[in-house]
Amino acid sequence: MLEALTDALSLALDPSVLLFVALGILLGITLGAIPGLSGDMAIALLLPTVFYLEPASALGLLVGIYKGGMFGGSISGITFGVPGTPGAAATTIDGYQAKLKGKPNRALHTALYSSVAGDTSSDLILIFIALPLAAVALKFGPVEFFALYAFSLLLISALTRGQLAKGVAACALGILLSMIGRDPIGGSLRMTFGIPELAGGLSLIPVLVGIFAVSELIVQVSKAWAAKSRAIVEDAKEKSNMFSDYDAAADKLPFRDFLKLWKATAIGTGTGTLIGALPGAGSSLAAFISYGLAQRFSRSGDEFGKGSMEGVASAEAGNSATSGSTLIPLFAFGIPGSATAALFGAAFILMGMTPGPNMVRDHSDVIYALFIILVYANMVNLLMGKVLLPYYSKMSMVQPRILLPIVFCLAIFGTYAAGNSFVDVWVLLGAGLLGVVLRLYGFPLAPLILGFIVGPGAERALRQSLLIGGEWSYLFSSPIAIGFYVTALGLILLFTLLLRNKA
Amino acid sequence: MSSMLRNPLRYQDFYVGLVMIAIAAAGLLDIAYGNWRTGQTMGPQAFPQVAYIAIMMAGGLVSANTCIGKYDARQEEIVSVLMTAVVMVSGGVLLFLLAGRLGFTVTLALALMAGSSLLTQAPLRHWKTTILLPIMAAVIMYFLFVQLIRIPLPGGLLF
Repeated sequence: MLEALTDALSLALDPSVLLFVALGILLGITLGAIPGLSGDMAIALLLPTVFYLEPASALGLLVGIYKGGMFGGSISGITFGVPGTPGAAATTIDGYQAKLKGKPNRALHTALYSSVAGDTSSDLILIFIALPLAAVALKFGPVEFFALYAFSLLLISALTRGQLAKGVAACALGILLSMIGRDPIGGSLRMTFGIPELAGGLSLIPVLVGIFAVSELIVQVSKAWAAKSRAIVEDAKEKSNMFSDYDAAADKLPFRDFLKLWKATAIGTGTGTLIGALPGAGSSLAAFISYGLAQRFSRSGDEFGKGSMEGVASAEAGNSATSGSTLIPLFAFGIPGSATAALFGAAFILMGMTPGPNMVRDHSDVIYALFIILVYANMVNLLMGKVLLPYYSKMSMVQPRILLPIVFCLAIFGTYAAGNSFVDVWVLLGAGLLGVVLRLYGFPLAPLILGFIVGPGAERALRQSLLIGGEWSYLFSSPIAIGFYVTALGLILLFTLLLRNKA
Repeated sequence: MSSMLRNPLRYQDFYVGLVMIAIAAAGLLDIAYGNWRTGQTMGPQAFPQVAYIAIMMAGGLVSANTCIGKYDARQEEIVSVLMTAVVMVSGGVLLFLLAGRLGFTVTLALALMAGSSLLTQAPLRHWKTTILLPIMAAVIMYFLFVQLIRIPLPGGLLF
């Protein structure tokens, strides 16, 4: 243990890793701040670099992008009223109102501090919860694992935005895509449509990059073509010029003033951490529930929606506090609870590690290094934010017409480079088309990705269970498994009622 | 129901549900009559079968929901997005094929120039972002990916 920690410290504190963390934060903030682009997209695009970087550097880059993207979304929300990411929508409510009242700097600093506070707490919870949970998961058999997979698939299908039926269908489609190739138990070919190149199955990178990045790029290019995005930027420019008499000296946030927002930040942190750990719930839901709870428990609840700093702090802490806890199911059980966790899971697989309870035992140095990086990346984010905050809002003014072609070319060459495979490029473009069609018809993409990643494990667990037990009722033979099914149904009911009340 | 027949495009989700059912039915027929080793109870067909059944039931639910007024609004830009998708995917294929002959850097510079020019009004007037920036971006990406991270990308004309 001590030896692994020492190794991890030397890995994590390497100057090159620090550099990659800083680079990742800058990239994440840039993409997070531009409406339509996101940190997830950046992670997907940079997955191929995992092959060519040291594990700690690669993880530093991805962690930096993730954290930067989380905060970046709120920059354009506060500055221009256009949330860069869905998770920043709740921050925008009060953040933009504060900006209109001449307090953009206070709002941005409140968002930065609460984001870092929520994120750090969530990372610490991840570190202290994931390891004991992973130890418990080592005792699970195929019945319990299948129940856990079913629990995650049910929750993510039901809780992502949009119709439940479409979530279930997207999840089933992801499972079907993961079944292409050789059957893992019998070895026979399935759904290859006579194409020999598909015998090895679909690679993770082209599917992830295609579904997430290429489909989003196509939608954004279509908007840029229609000059809609230019209208947003020009509108934003116009709004930013509204404050030529802006008094920067009066718009500062001393840290002691932020400390007065501790209750709102704590509510956001607690709520975000809890919701982030549930598969499928997502940062947007966490931010809105945090915002609602903070308003209910605030003495100045009437100020919410009118530029309240408590509103900004609770929403941003709620949004950012999902970042560590969303990785808990991935580390403990090998099940990604969100699209971001799925991307991290893919990165681990590319590094030759299998996400799950054995990963911590088999690669303890890298995992401990990741934990250290997760925590100190927040400090890097804070320091960079303190220095660069005035420039961050300018990043969301970068014209999409410049960035979109670059990102599209990166997606194609990055995918090719990851596997040196022509087939991967065709799969990437095909996945991009599929992603566009699904987006246009209101299908959520996160369940599809989860289904694709979890599908093979769920199939193996189900078939092993039935081989051992001989009949379907064996799936309900374990109290832990029954507990997972009941909890899934209970949580779906609870969140359905909560969301109905919110509506 | 009659209003749906009068204006079917308004009820796009009804047809989405039908397409889902058709895809699932085709998959189930393939499992029943195709080249699957379906002898065992839990053979390779079992899990795909469950997935197809889930899609079929979800499709039925999407169509049924439409009839009681629960459906996703039709997106206005559907045709333009699909057109963009076809153009970009074709462009992606062309880009990839060209890279084999011209090399990564030259192809990338050309693609970025074409892309930013297409998305810019009066591209020649904005030559800094439509010509200069793509060339710089291509060179930076060459150094970043090929020289620094050592990703093997085709050299082509230049290297």
